[in-house]
Amino acid sequence: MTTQTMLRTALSVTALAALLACGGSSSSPKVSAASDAKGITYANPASAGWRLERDPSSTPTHIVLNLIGPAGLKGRGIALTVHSDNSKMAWGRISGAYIQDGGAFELAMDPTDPNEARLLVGGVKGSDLMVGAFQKDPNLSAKPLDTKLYSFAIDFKADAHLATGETIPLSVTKARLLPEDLGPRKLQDVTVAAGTLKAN
Amino acid sequence: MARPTLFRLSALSALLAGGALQAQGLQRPAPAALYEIQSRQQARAAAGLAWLDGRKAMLGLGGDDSFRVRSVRTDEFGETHIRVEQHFRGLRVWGAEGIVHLDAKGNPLPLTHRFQRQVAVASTTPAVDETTVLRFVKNDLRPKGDWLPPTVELVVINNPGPAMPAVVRDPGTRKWRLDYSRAAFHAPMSTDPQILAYHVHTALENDKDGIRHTDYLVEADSGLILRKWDSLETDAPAKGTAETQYNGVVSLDTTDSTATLGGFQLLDQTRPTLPHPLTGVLGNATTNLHNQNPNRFIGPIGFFNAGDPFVDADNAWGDGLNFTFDPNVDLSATDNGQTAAADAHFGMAATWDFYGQVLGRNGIDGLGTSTVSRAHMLPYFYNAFWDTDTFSMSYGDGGHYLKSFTCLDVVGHELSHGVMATTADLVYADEMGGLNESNSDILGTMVEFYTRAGKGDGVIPDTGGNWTMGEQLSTPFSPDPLRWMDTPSRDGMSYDAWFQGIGLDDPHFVSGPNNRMFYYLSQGAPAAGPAQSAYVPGGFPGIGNDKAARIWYRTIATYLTSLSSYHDTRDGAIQSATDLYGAASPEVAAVENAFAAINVGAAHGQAPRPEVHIDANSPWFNLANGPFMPGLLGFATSGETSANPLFQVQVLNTANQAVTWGAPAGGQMGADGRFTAPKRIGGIYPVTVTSQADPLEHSMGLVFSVDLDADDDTVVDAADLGPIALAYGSYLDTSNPNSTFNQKADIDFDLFISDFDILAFTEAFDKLYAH
Repeated sequence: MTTQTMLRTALSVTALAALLACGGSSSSPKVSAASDAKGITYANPASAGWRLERDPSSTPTHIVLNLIGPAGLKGRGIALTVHSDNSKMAWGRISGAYIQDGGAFELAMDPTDPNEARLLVGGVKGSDLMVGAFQKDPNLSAKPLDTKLYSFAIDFKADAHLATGETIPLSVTKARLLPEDLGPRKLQDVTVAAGTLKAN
Repeated sequence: MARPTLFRLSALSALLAGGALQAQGLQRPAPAALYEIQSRQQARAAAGLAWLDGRKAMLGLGGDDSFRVRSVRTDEFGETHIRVEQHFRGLRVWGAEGIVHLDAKGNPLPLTHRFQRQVAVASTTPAVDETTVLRFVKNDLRPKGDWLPPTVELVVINNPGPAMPAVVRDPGTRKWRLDYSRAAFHAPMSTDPQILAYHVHTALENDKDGIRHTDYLVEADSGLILRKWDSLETDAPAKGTAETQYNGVVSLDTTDSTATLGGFQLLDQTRPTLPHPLTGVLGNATTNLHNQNPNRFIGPIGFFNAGDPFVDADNAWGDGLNFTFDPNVDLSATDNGQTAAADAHFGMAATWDFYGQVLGRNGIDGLGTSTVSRAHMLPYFYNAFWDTDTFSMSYGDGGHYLKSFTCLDVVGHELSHGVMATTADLVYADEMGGLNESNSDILGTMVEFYTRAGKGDGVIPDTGGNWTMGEQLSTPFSPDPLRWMDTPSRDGMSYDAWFQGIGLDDPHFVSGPNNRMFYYLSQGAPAAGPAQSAYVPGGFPGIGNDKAARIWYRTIATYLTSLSSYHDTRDGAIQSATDLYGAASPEVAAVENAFAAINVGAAHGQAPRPEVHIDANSPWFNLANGPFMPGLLGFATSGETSANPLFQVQVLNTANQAVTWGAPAGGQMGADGRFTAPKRIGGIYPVTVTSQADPLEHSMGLVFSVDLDADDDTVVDAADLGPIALAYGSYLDTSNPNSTFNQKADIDFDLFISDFDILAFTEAFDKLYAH
């Protein structure tokens, strides 16, 4: 514990003791170990390959992350399982859904028709977010992957009472790519770099 | 069918006061008095409507609700029946209809209605415009040939609830399967109890698409297709086979058109009183399509191909032989080609006369509107159909297995679809579709009995006809009739009795129990033999064709509405028998017994039997109350046992709630009603439950199962979309190492990964993880 922290603690205890001595009827103020964080920040990973990058539309309480692939590669879809800690954060929604398509893949013949089936899902299971988008038509060409493929969001969880600077775990535990070459009839496992998520 | 208690008490009071009227059936006014009542029909209708308006509050309707008259009819008893639709802020409320009945003196009788109480929609302006909706419909329909905008109507519907897949029963294997030619349905975006929707009716009739009529309900604020159903009202194709043409040497009403056409034509001007709405011709015409596709609605304007007239120089038609089709030469206008047209023309006149002489109805619509009967539709067309939009009939020539579809009971059947469209207008889906089909079988059969007697005296005899449909079409290669009315299950597809869930099947098979009901009503039920009823095994006497037909006709013309069920039909038939013969009459008792014999309601003087009702109680969907496919119970996922449907059952009319679950093929039913699906990408599992108090009582539902773990890694996640993407548009691929679902050996249908599978998967995934 730092000196600053010890001083703060001492002051807090003194304040508490003073209140008790006054026999005040009001309830004791909540003790803060440190200043509660008011939001979250995200720092992009250093990787130039598969990565999650912060979208400019992010706010201090709603971080939007874009999945971006490496340059020079084409593909037909990818699914992720993103792991965090739902006691410290919440999976957010973009326009009401857990996943927002980036438009890189051709998911439908008529993009405006809500009836056409699309291989696009986003869901939450505990601390895991599962998102995926795939082109269904094998006759369509594979698409360049070094662009925003799709997005998802992380929300600040106020009642978690995170300490400022506290790191919130974030990792991509599974990433499966439908590659350009369908000949092998196989999905490929890839590694997606996640940046640093912190309380602020 | 709901009837406010207040009005029923009025009628009851009349009975208690010793009203002889109801005890003996309704009395017919003298002709002059009846004419006077009919001449005041318009004023009576206005009075009836005003009376109904004054009772809106009592019916749970408000200032935004109004009524629109659909039709008015005064019957032989001087009663006027005003069919009305409920409108909310000017929009029709789907299925919300009523019938105001006025007695001969103009006094209101108990109301028949299915009005919707407390309708509420946020706005009557849809978020998605009609042009966009039609584009979505066209995307789904994917016509290959000519397409012009179909008919569209903005309506208010009760929220149909969650999505249901397109499920059909394969007529060959009798197994339930997914129909990959149809898109799946969607859950509406809104959760409001009523929503705006577009009702779209499409009709494709061209060389590339064939003949396809499809109706849609599309959520007006999202464009999502909620429901879709085939609306072509046909005879069911069956196994075909052999010989002779149908009515012998008959007299036909024709028109001398020597000056214009060089001969006589098959145009009957003696019967209709109004011209055809599209051709403008006055008279029932029988025309020639030359074994071509009529290519309806070609070009920018729209076009009804009414066919070419049949012309004969000496007014002598046909050669009595079945049509011999030659793909290289058009023989449709030869003497041999005239034979099918002559049968169709004769059948049209016979059916018209039946309705007029027996039931007092002027033609198909009751107004005497001219019709068109088009013979020689397409090559090798094993069907016939009625089309309300064009007020026409179309007949195929069959081929090797079945003969020309112009035999008398088939003609009567098809024209009776027109009668249905202008009376109850039962929707062609679920129980309603089965009742619609049965109506055509019943009245087509009565046309046959009446016509064969040849007396024209307005009384249907009990001899001269038969209780099979389309038996004259048979050949040695297909010797059976299309259907048996006394023992419907004899065709291997139809049902002999009603059960909850019957509406899931094709209307031609759901019709079985009601056909049998009519047979019992007319001929009685035997105490032994194939036609014996398991529900009334001791049998009972019938009342004959004439009385049975009058009761039936009054039921559809006076008491049924577009969403009427089997049980509504029983209520309507009892009321009709009461009207005609009196409340305590043997005819009413016969109606009760006839319906009881097909497991609808109690037999006369008997307590009601137990009834088994499955209610889905699943974290997925509750589909128990849908107006369409009411027996589809919900989704299940293999492995996710806690989320699998747990079906609750209620057994009515008995304290014994014990049931026995039927084990669905491939799936498992726990004793508590918990269903577990096997591990396969998708499947349909019939679930049955039988009452232990009465083993004759059962209910059936279908469970649709989705295996979300498509890559078989024991984890359900978004990566499972990958194998679906790999397999899309193809059959199972045994070389796909990313998934072992192709290795499941217990499949019983071809698995072709399509948009339907994607939709099933993503909706199931959303249900598990997206909320």
